Amino acid sequence: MAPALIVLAAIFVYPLVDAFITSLMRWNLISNVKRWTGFGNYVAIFSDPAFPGVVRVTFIYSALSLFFEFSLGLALALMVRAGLRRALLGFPLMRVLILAPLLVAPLLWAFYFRSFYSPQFGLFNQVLEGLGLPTVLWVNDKNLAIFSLVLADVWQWTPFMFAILLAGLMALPTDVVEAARMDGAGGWRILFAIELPMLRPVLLVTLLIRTIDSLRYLDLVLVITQGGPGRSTEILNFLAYRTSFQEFQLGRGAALAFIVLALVMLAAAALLRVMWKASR
Amino acid sequence: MNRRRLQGILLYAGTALAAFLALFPPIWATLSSFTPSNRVGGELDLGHWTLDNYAAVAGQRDFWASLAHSAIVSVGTTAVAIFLGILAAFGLTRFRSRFRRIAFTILAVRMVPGIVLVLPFYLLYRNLGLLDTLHGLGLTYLTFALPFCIWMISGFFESIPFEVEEAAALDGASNWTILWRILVPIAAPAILTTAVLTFIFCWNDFLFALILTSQDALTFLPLLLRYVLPQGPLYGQIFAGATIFLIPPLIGLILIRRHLSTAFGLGAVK
Repeated sequence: MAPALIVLAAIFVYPLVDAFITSLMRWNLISNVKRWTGFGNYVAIFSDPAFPGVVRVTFIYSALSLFFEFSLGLALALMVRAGLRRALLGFPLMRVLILAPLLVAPLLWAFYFRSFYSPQFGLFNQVLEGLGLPTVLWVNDKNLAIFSLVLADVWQWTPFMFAILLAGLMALPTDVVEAARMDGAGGWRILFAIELPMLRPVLLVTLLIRTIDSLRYLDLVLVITQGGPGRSTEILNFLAYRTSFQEFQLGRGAALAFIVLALVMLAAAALLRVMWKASR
Repeated sequence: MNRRRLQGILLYAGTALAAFLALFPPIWATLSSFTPSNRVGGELDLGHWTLDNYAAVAGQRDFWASLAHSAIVSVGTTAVAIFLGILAAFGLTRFRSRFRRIAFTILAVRMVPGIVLVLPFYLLYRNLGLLDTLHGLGLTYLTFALPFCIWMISGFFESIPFEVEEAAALDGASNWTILWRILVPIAAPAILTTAVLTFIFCWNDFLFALILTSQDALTFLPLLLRYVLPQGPLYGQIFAGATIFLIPPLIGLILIRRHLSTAFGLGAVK
C-alpha cells in the first residue's frame, strides 16, 4: 500500500500547501506582479459587498438541490423497492434505466438544459406554448435563473440518491421490521420509526457526498448562465474559477477556493462525528 | 384486492415516469442531433432526418484527436489507479487493524474540491512544462481516481473471508501470490465494476481538462466549448458529439449492469 499512499500524499499535500501559499499572495498572472499580502485576500473577499450575495446563492443552490434530490430519491427508492418486493414485471430494468443520468458528463447535461431553457426555440417553452400556457424566461430572469439551475441539478442527481438509498433499504435486516409488523405497526410507521433511523449512517454519507459535489461542480453555471443574469447564479465555486482563470487574480482565486474547502471540511467534520457516534 | 391493484398501478406510473424523465434529456439530444439545425436554438424538426451534424463534426481533425486524448488519458489513469488501488486495499484490509480510520481519511481526501487542486497543478505544470500533456492531465485525475479505487476495492477485499488466504499461506504462498492469485481473481467482477466507474469519472472530467490542456492534449469536453459561438451554441453539432461521446460509458454500463446497484451501495455506504 506504500506506493499508493506516497502518490496520494504527493498529489494532495503539494497542491494544498501550494494553493494555501498562493492564497496569501497578491498575484496577477497578466501583469505577473506577485507579492506577499498575508491574509489580505481573505480580508478583501469578506469585505466585498457582493460576497454575502454569493454565499446566499451558493446556499440556496446547495440546500434546494439537496432537499429535492433527497426527497425524490427516497420516494423513488421506496416505490422501486415495493415493486421489486412484489416481483412486478419490469422493475429490475427500470431500476437500472433510472441511473442513466449518472453516466452523462455534467457538461453535456448542462448543454442539454441550456437548449431546453432557450427562450424562443427551447423545448420547455415550446411545450408550454403548445399547452397554451405563457412561456417562461428560465435562465434569463434573475429571480428564476438559480431555480432553473437547481431543476437541472435535481434532474441529473436524484438517481444518485435513489441508488444509494435503495441499496441501503434493501440491505436492512428484515427481522426487526417483521417484528414491528407483527405488533401491528403500519407501513409509514415502520418507515419513519424503524427503517430511516437504521439507515442514518447511509443517509449521512449520501447527504455529505452530494453537498460536496454541489460545491464541486460548476459545469451548469459555466455553460448555462456564466453567473448571470447580473450575479444571480454566481455560486462560490464558479466565482473562484472566474477569479483565477478569467480575471487571472490567482491569489484571490486560491483564497476563494480555500473558503470552499473550509465549507466542505466543516460538513465532513460534522459527519465524521455523527458517524463515530452511530457506529458505537 | 382492489386497493392492492391500485397501489400496483401507482407504483408502475411513478417508476415509469422516473425512468422516462431519466432517459429523456440524452434521448432527446440524440434525436435532435439527427435533425437539421440550421437555426441556432433548441428546436427539433422530427419530419426530416439528416447526418449533416455528424458529417460536420467528423470533418474536424481536432474532434477525433480530442476523443483519442480523452480515451488515452482515461484508460491510462484507470489502469494506474486500479493497480495502485489493489496494492493499497491489500495493505489496508490485511495488515492494518485501524482500517476504518484510514478509510475515513481516504474518503476525506476525496472531498477536496477540484478548484482547490487545479490552480497549484496549473502553476506547477507551467514551470515543469507539463501543461497540455496527457501524462500531466492523467496525474491530476489520480486525485479523484485513486481514492475512489482504494475505497471501493478495500470494501470488496474486506468482504472476502480470511480463511481462504490462510489456507494458501499455510501452503507457503507469499503475500504477492495470495494477492494476485487468490484475492484479485475472487474480486475480479467487483474490480471491473470499479474500473468502469473510474473510467467514466475520468472520461467525464471537464474542469481539469479545461484548465490544463489547450491543443496537444485537448480532451473532448473542453473542445465542445468551441461550438459555443457568440450568437449561441451550435446545438446540432454539440449533440452529435455528445452522442458519440456517450457510447463508451454506455458500453461500460452494459458490461457492469449486474453489479451496478451493489456498486453504488458499496461505494458510499461502507
